[in-house]
Amino acid sequence: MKKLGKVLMILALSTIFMQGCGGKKEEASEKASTGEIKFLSIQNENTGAGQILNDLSKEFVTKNPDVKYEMEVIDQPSQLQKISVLLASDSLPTVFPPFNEQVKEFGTKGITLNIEETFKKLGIYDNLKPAAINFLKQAQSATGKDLVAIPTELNVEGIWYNKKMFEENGIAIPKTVDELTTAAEKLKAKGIQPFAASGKEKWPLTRLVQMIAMRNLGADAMLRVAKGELSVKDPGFLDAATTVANWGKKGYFGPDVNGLDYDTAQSLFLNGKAAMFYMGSWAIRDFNNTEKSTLGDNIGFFNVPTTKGGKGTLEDYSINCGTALALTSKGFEGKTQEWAKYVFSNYGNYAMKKQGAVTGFKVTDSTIKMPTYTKMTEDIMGGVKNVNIIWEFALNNKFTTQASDSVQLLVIGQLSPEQYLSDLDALVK
Amino acid sequence: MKGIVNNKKAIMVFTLPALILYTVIVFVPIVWSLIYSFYEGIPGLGIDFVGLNNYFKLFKDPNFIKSVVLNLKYVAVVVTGQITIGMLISFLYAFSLTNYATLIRTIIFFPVVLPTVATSQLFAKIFQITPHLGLLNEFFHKISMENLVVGWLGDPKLAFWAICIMDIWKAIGLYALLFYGAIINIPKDVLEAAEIDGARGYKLITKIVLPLIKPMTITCLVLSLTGTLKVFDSVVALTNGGPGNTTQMTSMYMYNTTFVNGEFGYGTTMAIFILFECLVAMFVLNRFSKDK
Repeated sequence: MKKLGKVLMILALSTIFMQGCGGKKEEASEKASTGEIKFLSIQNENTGAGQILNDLSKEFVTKNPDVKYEMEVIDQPSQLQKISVLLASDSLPTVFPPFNEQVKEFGTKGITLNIEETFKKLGIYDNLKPAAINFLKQAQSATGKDLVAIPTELNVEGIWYNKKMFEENGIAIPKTVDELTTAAEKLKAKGIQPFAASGKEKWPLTRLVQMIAMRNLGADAMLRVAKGELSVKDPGFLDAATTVANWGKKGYFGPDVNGLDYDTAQSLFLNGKAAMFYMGSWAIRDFNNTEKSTLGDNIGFFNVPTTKGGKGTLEDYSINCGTALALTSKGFEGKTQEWAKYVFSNYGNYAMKKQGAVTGFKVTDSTIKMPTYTKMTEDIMGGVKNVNIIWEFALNNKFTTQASDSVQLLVIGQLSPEQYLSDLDALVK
Repeated sequence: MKGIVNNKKAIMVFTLPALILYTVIVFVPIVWSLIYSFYEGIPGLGIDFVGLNNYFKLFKDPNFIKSVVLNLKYVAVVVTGQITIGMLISFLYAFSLTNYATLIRTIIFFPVVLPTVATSQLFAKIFQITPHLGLLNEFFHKISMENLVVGWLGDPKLAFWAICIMDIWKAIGLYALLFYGAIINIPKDVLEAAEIDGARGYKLITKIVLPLIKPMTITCLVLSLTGTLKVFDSVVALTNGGPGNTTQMTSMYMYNTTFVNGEFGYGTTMAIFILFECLVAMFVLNRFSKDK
């Protein structure tokens, strides 16, 4: 009995250890060799940059059969963990989206490539739109001058409005924030909800506060706050927070703004139940979609108006470049370089052809037809002179989270504008 | 059979694999977390030793204290609700219900097996006010109580009660069934003897039934307490901590700190605190069950 017991124990223990070893062996054989492209994406192969990069990479592989290509899709909540693990095991994929502040960090440490240098070497730098380069250098680099990310999208934000509602109610496009408030009051008096905004997403509300603050203080206000040259308790910020709080108090956002998610808020606008919708131009894929929108050609656009005595102008726009993709420095040679050249010289054209999407890359193929709102966006983009850098790119995560969470209380009158800003002031580091 | 159970070596052989698995899956991560709580940073990118700094930070953090107080309020309301209502329903099952007993028990138990996120979506629609009135608001509108037609999830106080109502509703079926099982295990002659001695209704319940189902009560309290102290998915799915962070429970704050802010060490410290809360709860319950 004693011997049997010992044997059984050894068997039990060894099976458990074998399992562990087996797993490790599989990982070792997966080691990357040259000519192997790995794309880590937070969008699946049917959406946005995920689709464009995947399709173009597959085209490249058809022309270069000796190259191995693989796409892995992860969800946003796992992004930070996944990249941290890959970094720690020195196996970052060829192209991937670094998480928030990692974009700047990896670029500075040389873990990811300087895109300006790399693209110039590959001869494709001129494919990038100046507005995109301008934005990324200011918002996504530690020095404010380096390009370390690829603009997979180019989105401009502003107020989309129902042209018919404005005409029928005798409302002209507001040139100042005061005129905007008056227009909203006029609409409310007629029983029309002035603004559709998703309080559940939080950022559509903070964006309004930020844009008005930057109309008061200039397009670089948030960058100055980050450098310690400007305080969030400045009257320019207070005015912005108070304006948005008042809009909430007067019911301009409708009955339960914090209960509205993105899709519901958008559908309120697209089904003619609200007059104005602050949103980025990525929404045009839904504007172009007749199943989602009943407004047809009836949607117009105007930029956030100016304020009296404010430094901001109507040529200051909040733009962003979608998910920032970076190229890993290690292993970027030979076939990988050819892949990059192929994919990024065709990116702009393919995105327009396949999705009607505006990206940070120029559309050089003049035969591609653009849908109405896509053309509208490209035209708006042409008028962008200065970039409003929002606090999501200028300040730390804790600040942004606090600002987003508390704005929900600001618009329902449960938090005073003074308290809102003073809580934020404590988090500027 | 007797030989095997008495043979210590045999016992060890049969339990060792499970014990090793349990140690690896449960104990090792706890110890690992405890070690992480003395560091700060992101594992893989760089972590620095900070000693007890995280713990000092914890007790000075107003958001953390807010979430703990909220969580404890939630625990008090939901545990009381789940156990009391569950118990009352079990009395119904045991002493009143005769027709369609199985059907009614099944219907009341049904919410327990629903996925938490699906239940949250259901209640979000019930409490809705825009773009259409939800079930609750429509009801108040129909009976002309317009002052009660509000955005339930948009108000901090009402959102809290919405979560409590949802979580109580979801679990009472389970507790009713557990208590019912305990009651029918009481020997019939004990109940008959008590009735002969003149114990009826209220007295029967408090003096005879309750003391005899005490072990089950403790079990249910354990289940309820651990569930409510760690509550995460139902809150995230219904309000996502909103509006603002007024319904943000401790576990949710821990998740945001760790995975959104990238403060793994500080987040782990919160996890250790939640573990500590659960241990204290178990200790208190243990004392309570040994009383007398």
